[in-house]
This record gives sequence, C-alpha cells and structure tokens, in this order.
Amino acid sequence: MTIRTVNVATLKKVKNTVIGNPSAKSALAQDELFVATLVDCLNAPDHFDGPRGSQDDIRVEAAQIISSLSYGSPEALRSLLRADAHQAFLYAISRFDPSEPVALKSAFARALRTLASASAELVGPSQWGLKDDASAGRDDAKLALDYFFQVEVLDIYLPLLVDPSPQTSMSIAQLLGAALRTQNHRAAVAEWTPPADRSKEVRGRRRWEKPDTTVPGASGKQGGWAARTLTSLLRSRDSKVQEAALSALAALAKDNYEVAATLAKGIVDRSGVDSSSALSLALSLCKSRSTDVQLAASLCATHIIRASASNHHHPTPPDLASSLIVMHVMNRMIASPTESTQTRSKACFILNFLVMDEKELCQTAFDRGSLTKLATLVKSISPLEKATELDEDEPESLCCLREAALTAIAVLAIADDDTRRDITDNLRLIPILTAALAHPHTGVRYAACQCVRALSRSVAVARTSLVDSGLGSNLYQTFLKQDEDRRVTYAALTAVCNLVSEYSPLRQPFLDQGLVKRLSQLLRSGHAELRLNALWAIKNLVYRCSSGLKHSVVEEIGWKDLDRLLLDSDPGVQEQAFYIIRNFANCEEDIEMVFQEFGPEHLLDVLVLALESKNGDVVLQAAFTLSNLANGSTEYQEQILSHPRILKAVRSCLVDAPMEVRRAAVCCVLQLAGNNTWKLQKMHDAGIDSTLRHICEYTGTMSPSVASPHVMGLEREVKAKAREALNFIEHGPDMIVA
Amino acid sequence: PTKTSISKDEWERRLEEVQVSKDDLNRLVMDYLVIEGYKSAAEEFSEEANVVPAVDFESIESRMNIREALQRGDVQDAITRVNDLNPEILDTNPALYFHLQQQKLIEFIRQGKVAEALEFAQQELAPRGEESPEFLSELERTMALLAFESSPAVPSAISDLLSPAQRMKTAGEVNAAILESLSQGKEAKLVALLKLLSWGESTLQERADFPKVR
Repeated sequence: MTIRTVNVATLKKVKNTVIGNPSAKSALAQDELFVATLVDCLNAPDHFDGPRGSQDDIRVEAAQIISSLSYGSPEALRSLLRADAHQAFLYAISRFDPSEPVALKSAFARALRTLASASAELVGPSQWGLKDDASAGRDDAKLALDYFFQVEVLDIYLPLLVDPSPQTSMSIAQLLGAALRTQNHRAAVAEWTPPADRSKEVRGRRRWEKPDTTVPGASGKQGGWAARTLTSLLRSRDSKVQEAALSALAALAKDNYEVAATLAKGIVDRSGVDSSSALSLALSLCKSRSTDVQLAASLCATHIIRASASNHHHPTPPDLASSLIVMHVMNRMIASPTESTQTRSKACFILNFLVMDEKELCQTAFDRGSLTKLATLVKSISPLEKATELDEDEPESLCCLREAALTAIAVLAIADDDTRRDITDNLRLIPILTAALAHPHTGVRYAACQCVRALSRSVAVARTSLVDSGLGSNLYQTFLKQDEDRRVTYAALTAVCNLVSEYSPLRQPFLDQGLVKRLSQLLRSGHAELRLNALWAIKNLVYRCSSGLKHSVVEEIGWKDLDRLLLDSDPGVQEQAFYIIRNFANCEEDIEMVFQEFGPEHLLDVLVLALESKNGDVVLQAAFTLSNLANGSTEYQEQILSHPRILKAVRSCLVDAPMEVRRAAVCCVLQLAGNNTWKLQKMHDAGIDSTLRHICEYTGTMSPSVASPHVMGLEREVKAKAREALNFIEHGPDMIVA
Repeated sequence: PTKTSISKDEWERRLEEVQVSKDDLNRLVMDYLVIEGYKSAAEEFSEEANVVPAVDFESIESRMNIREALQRGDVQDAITRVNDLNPEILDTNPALYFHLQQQKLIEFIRQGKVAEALEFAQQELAPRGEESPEFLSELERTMALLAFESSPAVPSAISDLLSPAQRMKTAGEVNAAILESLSQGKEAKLVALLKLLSWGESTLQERADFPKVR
C-alpha cells in the first residue's frame, strides 16, 4: 500500500492492518520511505496533516505501528533500526516534561520496550531453550542493544521506572526483563545511579574516605538504584506490575553475585525500618493467584538463589529452604495437565535453572518426584508409534514443551547414577529419546542428545541400555550427520566423548563406522567448542589403546593438523593436543616417530612455547610430554639437550610452578641425567644442578600455603628425584653415592 | 464400605450453619455482571445494592461494544476496538487473531460474498496457515463451507461455523483475552463456584447419599 497523506485517520488504518498480521508487517517494513516517515512523526508531528491538538495522537499512532512492526520478522526489525527508530524514541523521551500526557508516555515506553526485546531475542542468548540461529539483522540489533545500555542512554529511560503511570514504569521493567542478557549490560544497570546523586557522591567524598554504604543512592550499595526501585515495585497491588518487576529482577540478578547477594538479604531503608528482601518477596509471590506471577516469581527467586551462592572466592551451597519452595511450585505445574503448554515449558526450564550442576539440589528434586513428573509429561505428549505425519503438524509450543522436559531430565540425570538407572529401567524413556533424536525440531534433538550424554556417564548404563536399545547407535547417526545444526552435533559429540573410553562397549562399533574420520573433520571446524570436544574424544580414544589403534588414529588426523592444534589459540585445545602426544610417545619407536614427523627443532620450539605458557594446564601437559620424550634413544636426548632454550624452560618449571609441574620437570631432568656424562656440562651451564641442589637443601616446604597430603606426597617425591638427579650429575650414573 | 445417608432436614440444618453475607452475594453478582460485560445492569445494581465494582464502567463498556460488534458480524469493527483498547493483545495472541480472521471469512460466506471470501482466504488466511500449521485444520474446515454452498448434506461440524454460537465463542475468547490483559479474572467467580459445587457433589457422592441441588 502506498500512503499518500499521513494523518491520524490513515495511521489508524495502517495500525489496524498490521497488528497481529505478520505478512502485512513484512510488507510494510519493506517500504523504507514510509518507515522513515513514521519515525519522523515521532518527533515532528507538525509536518503532517491534521487539526491542532492531534499532534500527540499522530505521535501515539506512529508509536503503536512501530511497536507492532517490532513484533514481526527480523527483517522488519532491521528496517526499523536502520531508520533509527530507537534513537527517535529516546530523543523524544529525553524531552518529556512533567505534563506529558499518560497516553503518549506509555505508548513511547512500550515502543522502546518492544524494540529492545525484539533486538535481544535476535541477538541472544536465548532465555528459554534453543532458538533459531537466524543471522539476518543480528549486527544491527547488537549495536542497538549495546546502545540501550550505555550510561547516557540509561539516563534517559531508567528514570521512567518511577513514573507515576504504571503502564509506563511497567514497560521499562519489561524492557529490562527481556533485554538484559549479558554480564556487561547487567553491570551497567546495576551500577547506574540517577545523575543528581552521582554528582552528590563525587562532591561529598574526600579522596581517602570510603564510599558511604548507608546513603541510599550510593552506587552499587544495596544492589543499586535499579534493584531497589524494582524491589519496591514488587509491593504493587497490580499483578502485571509485579510480574514485570519480577522479570526485571530475574534478569538483573542472573549470574550476578553482587546484585543477587544484596537482593537475598533484607535491607534497612531510610527511616531505619527493616524491610523484606527481594528474595522473600519473590518467594511469597510464588503463591500468587496468577500463574504468570507465579512463574515470574519462581524465575526471579531461582536466579537470586543460584547467583547469591556463586561467590568466586568461597562458593556456598544454594539456600535449600528457598529452593524447596520454588521446586514445589514447579513440580506442581509440571504435573498439572490443565496448565497451558507455555506454563509447563517454563516450569521445566525454571526447574532446570534451579538445580543445574548442583548435586544436592538434583537429588532433592529427584526425591520430590520431579523426574517421575517430567517423564509422565513427556510420555503424555508423545505418540506411541513413530508417526511422521503427526510430527510435521505438531505445533511449535508442543515442540518447545518436549524440549523443555527433556532438558530438565538431562540435567537431573547428569547428577546421579540412581537417576540414570531410573530413567532407563523404571520410567522406560528410551523409546521416547530415540524418537526425539530424529525429531524435526532442533531444540528437541539437542535436548535428546543431552539426555544420552547424561546417561553415558554410567558405564553400567552404557553397557546395557544404550547398546541393547540401539539408542547409542542412533545417537551416533546423529553425530555423523553432515548437515545437522552444529549445536546438536556438539551435544552428540559430548555424548560420543563419554562413549569411546577404555571400557565402553560402543568404542569398537563406533570405530568401525568412521569415527576417526568424522572426528578429524570436526577438528577442522571453525567452531572452537567442536574442535575442543573432538580432541577430547580422541584423547579418550588413545588412552590405553592398542598400538595399532593409536597409530591409525594419529595418522588419520594427520601430523600437520596435530601440529596446528599444539599452537591453537584456545589453551584448552593445546592442552588436549599435548595430552595426545604425551600418550602417543610411550615407547622408543613412537618417540622416534614424533621427532621425525615434527622435526626435532620445531618440536622443541613448540614445547618451549608451551612450557612458558600462561596457562597452567598447558604447561603441565607440555612438561609430561617432554618427560616422556626424554625417554627416547640417545640421539633424541642429545637433540633435547642441544636446544638452546629447553633447559632454561625446564629449570623455571622446577621452581616457580605448581607441585605437579615440578614433579614432571624433575622426572624429565632425571631421565636426561640418567645416561651419559657428557651431557652434564650442558645441564650445569643451564644452572640445573644448582637448582636441584637448592631443592634438596631447602628444608622448609616449597608450597606457599598449607598443602594437602597429596601435595605433600608430591613434594617428597620431587625432593627424592631431585636428589637422585643431582647425584647423577655430580657423580655420574655409575657411582651411586648414598 | 456403606455410604452414610444424610436426610433432607439434616442437610438443610447444615446449610443454615454456613454464613454467607448479603454483601458477599452482592459482590458475586456484581463480579458476574462486570465480567460478562453488562454495563447498564452493573451500573444500576451498583446503585441499588451499594456495591462498588473493582473496575470502572468505561472499560466494561468497551468490552460490551466489542462483544456486540462480533454478534452483529462486524469483525473489523471489533478488531479496531480491541486495538484501541490494548494494541498488545492481538500481537501477542496469534490464536485469537486467527480466530478473528476466521470469523471474518465466515461472515463473508454467510453474506454470500464468495469472491471476497476466496480473496480474503488467499491473502490473509493462507499465510497464517503457512506460519502456524495448527491453524490449517481450522482453515480447511472453514473453506469446506464454501465447498458445500447451501447443500443440505453439510456435516454439522462445518455448518456449526455459521451458527450464532460460533460468534459467541469468538466473542468469549476476545473478552477473556482483554480481561487477562487487564489482570482481572477471566472467569466470573459465580461460574467458578458452580464448578466447585459440581466437583464437591461428585466427590461427596462417593461416600454419602444426600439431597442434591437440581
């Protein structure tokens, strides 16, 4: 449609055409001229037709249309962002005066919210399950999102959180709830203070004074201005406002220790009155009449509970009493067939967030029947036979529910053997998982792989259920699939990693079906997590395997590729690559092969780089590798000793390093010292013998803090070996001096 | 185990013991009138029984107008009014929007405007079906109306679409969505009480014989 004149009537017509209608939105969004006109209306309505006094109406209608377009496709959003719609709104809001009509304020706040949340949905990370990996317009959205959380921009719209009209303040709370998804954005909002208070703080403080923690408005204290304001919004009577505030607090507290810890404690307000903490308010709202409020409250409580226990320096177990409240509500929703699909999906995910990676909580959930309820749920929505017709027509919401339930099951299964056994033996979920692996919806396949991965942690389970039922082999097919979504491949790969270890009955079948070829392919992937896990799988493969297998694996991968991985930018990848070489070089022939294939000079260069790495794990594996390589023939020992920097690197590993590394280094020295006398001069030149002497003579403990028995044992071993090596160096290996 | 038997007198006696104030009853009636959208009745009742409703009468009026528009068959007017009231509703409720579009198609067919019906179905409804396969079967059912024209062999599942009950069904859906967006209850408490009564009776029935409400 071409719009000739722009006035309230024509805009209303457009509005009524686009709301709810995705194809109309796409069509309109392509009309760049019209979109630009709309954006102009926001701030300069006097350019357009209409009686005086209808200016605000035009602005409101334009805002409504833009909001509606944001609910459309990513292309529609991109077109809005390119027309700088978000900036136009921000400009307008910055010029609001106190007499601004409510209709205008709330329409603009809502539009800001829809733009921000649509952008966040596009950029990710997803808040509920796996989303489509669409990339159209993502860059524009990312820029816009970062812009939204700059201090100068927060200055414009955050104050609306205390606007007297609830629709306006609610929209801003909803904005935060939907758009706050990364740590730096969270930090920006948590630390934000109103400009007036900011200058007060700076003026009042002399340099040596500590920031005043009791002054309200002081940045970061009591969770910051945003957290405090949102907490007070929780006390509103309006359930929609409560819901919005809860979701904003949830987004703010997630993975954010400082904010969550403050929200979990009660605060003392200005008048010295003790008021309830945000956490306790959220927990009481878990029993609200409104299902949506219950969900929002549970999510909020969950994020506060988990984040407040995750202090880097001393993590504590999460608050059990609070967790039980949330668990109870979620269990009820999961088990109730009358709740809507969306509600049950969210309940599964919230349970997931609550217990993930916490063994005790997973156990508690299991004891409270969560697994049984989830299994019942999944079985109730799955057809008995694999009917492919049905799958095509399955509504998105049902797919999401299945994904949610399977994800929660996987999280519970990772924790505990009894849970895994329950899944396979009692609940008979294996056929469901098999069907899910082939489901058209990406999220469902991903979740199914996670379940198999969890199951594969038990050798017993792997031996029986995964093999007998064919689930293991189905998973393997998913793993092999070339055009699979890479996230699903990743999940399948993690399961395969577990299944190729020494005692796994699936190791040989996988090997027979092109495992190594597929792994080498993944080693060249552009995605770091695929490379890393492929390498991990290879490491598991060559650990204590036959020589023939070891050789064929390394040959399939290729020495050149292995070389590249030793120098990968990701230290995790480097560590695994060295581990593989270390395992490979366990006999004289293979040591020779390593030297031959890499070339001695190059090999030692790479080792030196690794020994000097900032990453402790890399250093450790490099030291072990060198230690093994030093066990080769005289020729190769000579090569090692001749390398200019290697001995220096070894020497620093003897002193300034964790005990494990020192042990590896001293073994290395012992190997090298063990044979010929002529090498000893080189060792002496590098200062190794004086270092060894120092180790032997040092009577105090070498480790900086109180050490565990394990470390003490290592220390003794290091000293003993150092003594032995020193003996060899000083007296030659043939004379053994006591 | 044998069931206990409760006599009529005993039952009446027990009923008398339960305290239900006039005020409670009035609030129940007011709640019903408000939710179902009977504005003038609600206004009069408010005066006579001296009960204050939780919401203002204007919002009741808007909902009433929407309901009336749908009962008249003027779906576009209903959509316009819903958007005036709250532009979020139709954007966040694809099923509702689809049902409104479907109702529009039904109205075209009812008026015998076959050409418009076909065009509308192609332009507006087919894309909905593509976006969300769960609407396809509903769409097919509606298109079947065209196929049967005025043939008497129309199965009731299809011809029901033309009945006033269908309009009321759509109207009810819209009303519920609006109430939910205003964070008011979706269901009149009176209705919920009736459901509770029914459940209570059937549970008690397992253990006792008693005089039931007819």
